Amino acid sequence: MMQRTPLVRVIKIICLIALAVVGAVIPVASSWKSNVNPEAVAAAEIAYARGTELSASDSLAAAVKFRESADGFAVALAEAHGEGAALRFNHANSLLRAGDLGEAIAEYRAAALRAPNDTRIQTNLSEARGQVARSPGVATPTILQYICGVWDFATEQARWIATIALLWIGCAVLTLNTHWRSYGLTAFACALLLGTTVMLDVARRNSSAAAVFIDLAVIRKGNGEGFELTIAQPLPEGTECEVIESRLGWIQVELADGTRGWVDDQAIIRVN
Amino acid sequence: MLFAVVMSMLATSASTHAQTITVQCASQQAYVGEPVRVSVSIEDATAFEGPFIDAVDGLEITRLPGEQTSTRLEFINGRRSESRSVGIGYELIARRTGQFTIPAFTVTVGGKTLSTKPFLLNAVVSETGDLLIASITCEPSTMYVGQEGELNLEIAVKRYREEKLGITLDEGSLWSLIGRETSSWGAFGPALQKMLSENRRPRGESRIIGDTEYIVFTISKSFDPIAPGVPVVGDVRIRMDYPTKLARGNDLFFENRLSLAGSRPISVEATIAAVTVLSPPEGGRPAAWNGAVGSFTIEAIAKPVDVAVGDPITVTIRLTDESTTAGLAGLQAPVIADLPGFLENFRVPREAASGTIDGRSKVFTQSIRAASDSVRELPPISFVFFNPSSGGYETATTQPIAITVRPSAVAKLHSDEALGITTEPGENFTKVEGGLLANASTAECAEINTVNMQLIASTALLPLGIAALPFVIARVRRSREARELRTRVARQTFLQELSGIETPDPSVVERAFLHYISARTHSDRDGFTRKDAFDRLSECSVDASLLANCDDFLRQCERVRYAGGAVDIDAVRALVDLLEVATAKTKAAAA
Repeated sequence: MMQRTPLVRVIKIICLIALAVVGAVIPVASSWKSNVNPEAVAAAEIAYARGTELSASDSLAAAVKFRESADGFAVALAEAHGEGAALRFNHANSLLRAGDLGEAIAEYRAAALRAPNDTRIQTNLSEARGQVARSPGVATPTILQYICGVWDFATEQARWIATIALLWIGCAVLTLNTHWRSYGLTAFACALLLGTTVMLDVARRNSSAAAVFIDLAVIRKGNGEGFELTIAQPLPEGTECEVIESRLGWIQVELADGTRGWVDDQAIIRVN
Repeated sequence: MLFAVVMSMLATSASTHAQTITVQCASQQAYVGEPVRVSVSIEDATAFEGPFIDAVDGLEITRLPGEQTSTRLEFINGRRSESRSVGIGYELIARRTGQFTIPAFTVTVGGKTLSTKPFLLNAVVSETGDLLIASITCEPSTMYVGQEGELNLEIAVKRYREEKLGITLDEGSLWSLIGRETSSWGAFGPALQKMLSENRRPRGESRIIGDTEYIVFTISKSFDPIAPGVPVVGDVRIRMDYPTKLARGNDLFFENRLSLAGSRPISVEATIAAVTVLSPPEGGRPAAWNGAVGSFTIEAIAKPVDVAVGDPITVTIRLTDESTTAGLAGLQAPVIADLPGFLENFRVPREAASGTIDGRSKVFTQSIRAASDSVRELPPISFVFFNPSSGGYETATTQPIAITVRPSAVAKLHSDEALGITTEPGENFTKVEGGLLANASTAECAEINTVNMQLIASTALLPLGIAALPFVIARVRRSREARELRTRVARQTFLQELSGIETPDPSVVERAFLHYISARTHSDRDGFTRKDAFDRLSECSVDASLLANCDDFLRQCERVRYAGGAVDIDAVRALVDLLEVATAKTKAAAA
């Protein structure tokens, strides 16, 4: 059997590094390059500050400024493809102070999906929930939500970088030196664990069925105006629910107390 | 009404098209102040004007809203006839005693006037006397604005006993005689409605008033006065049909069934007992008093107590009412910004926080932020309230809470530099707006800490693929080596398969020969046929004569298998030797 020369090994290492750069670093760098428009964020922040100043003296003018701020953050969010927990948090603050309670709660929850352990988000979400006129309560967090909170000590991005790094280490070890096979497999196992946490986070975000009422709305026993009301009183803006089923113009929702009913799809906003 | 006398007066209609007007009155006798229903029916008139009726002194005539229309179809001896009827209701209320002549109701149909006959109505006074008493009481009877109490509507109905039958009506029967629809319940309407919707009713309890036994029904509602004076309860008038006679009757299913043989309507307006709502005194009223009335204790918790400058500290204030009469719904937290020591050292919201009620406590939560690292404690929080028991203003105060504040970068928002706003790395915004924690910095906003499936796929597949490559290569190599070994030992395997066979079985020889050819031509041995052998050997460029010999030998094996006979073992061995050389040459040429 032909002996592997040091030259062959060096060529292999160079090839591996080149592949790592092409295959991992470039996509990661291009993906995580911030799409957030700093000018839009700064303008929204200034409008928010103006609104805050005006809120003590002229609530009407303050509301206009908060609306302007919310619109600015919405533009920045659209450019960032809806990602960014901090951006969503600021957007929610502007919405809440502009009077859009339902949309604000939905936005806080979307921010919390991206940063489950951020106490600022939880605090302001509680504040917003406290403003809901008659809330049937908030659904108990799922097991997946509890579990996801465990590994949120590091951001999703940091965990994925570590996953990729471990994968390349394992790959290099297995390719270059067959005697270190156990180390390579260990690196792969660690990468698998970390990668699973990231995948679960992504799955939790993508499978969210949460929704919030953005207007006073009634829920009915069927998907039509002719069906009788499930609850006699209309539910207030900010009521949180889970989406069960969607049909043309109507969405079946379940409230925190287990009550199910159909609501006009224009009256709620999905959390995602 | 069971005892009602139904009176019917046919109209003096003179219609040529059988158009008629009739009037029906529920009773010839009425009680002053109590309504009597009158129904006017117009037959076979598609369009009409009216009905009209002249006013009567001392009698209030009110047309009830809506009309009842009915159509009747009849087929008699094949002839179809149709009649249409319109019913209109009236309510007559006598305002004095005496005999009233109810004038004719008239309608105009197609230019003709139809009218009913006048009829008499006798109005007498229905003496309520001591049969029904309604009163409103308050618990407590003296209270302050800001306290919570209870208003009770007590309806006392004199217990009825039919001496002739020896029967006393129970409280359930008496409640059923109270007109829930005809009575005015004022502020107690929602409370009663709620009870009825839950299939409940006020329980009647026996009470002696004077020397008489009454059944008292009580309807309660919470009372949260917002202004001093007498509580406003609206129009509360109770109406009922008080029994005058009971009877036993037989019907198809129930023998000796007890029924109401006579009753008379009575009504009474509820009187409000002495209830005083006071306003806390203005003298000695502290500026920090925000309307709280009761006897309160205050408790404050700060969390966390070890923070950096600008970090949020959640302050939870719990106000507990010891008096059990304080109105907690409208209770407001002390405004922290107005308390000494807070505005200088902390950034605090100006607005009072909204609280949640927990038993007899109300819990408020606010976020504040230390303005500098020199802050060492959370100052005492004072809460001023008016105590009705002592009749004076009192203050409850918490103890100061020790906190540790570490230095931190300070945020600056250069709002004048429009769009030029920048944030330093690591900077934290520290403003608190209302009860909300402030916005994240622009630097934080620029961070995207999430990944998506596209990124996961694009970054993970390549290293996984490369890591899997050695395993794939090794597998391919192992497979190739096994095939080469099989080729090398093909002849040996062939000989082994034929060894120990004394009488050569054609099928065994044929199978061994095919196995040999498949091994030498790198083909799968399973399902390898004579045709496959011919094709593979052709592909290996084996000499045509040898190819023909091999094919002939296999054909002979097939024939012998069915027709019987023997095959030549030596011949096949010779063929194998020749094929060994021929395929080796081919392999060498290919190499």
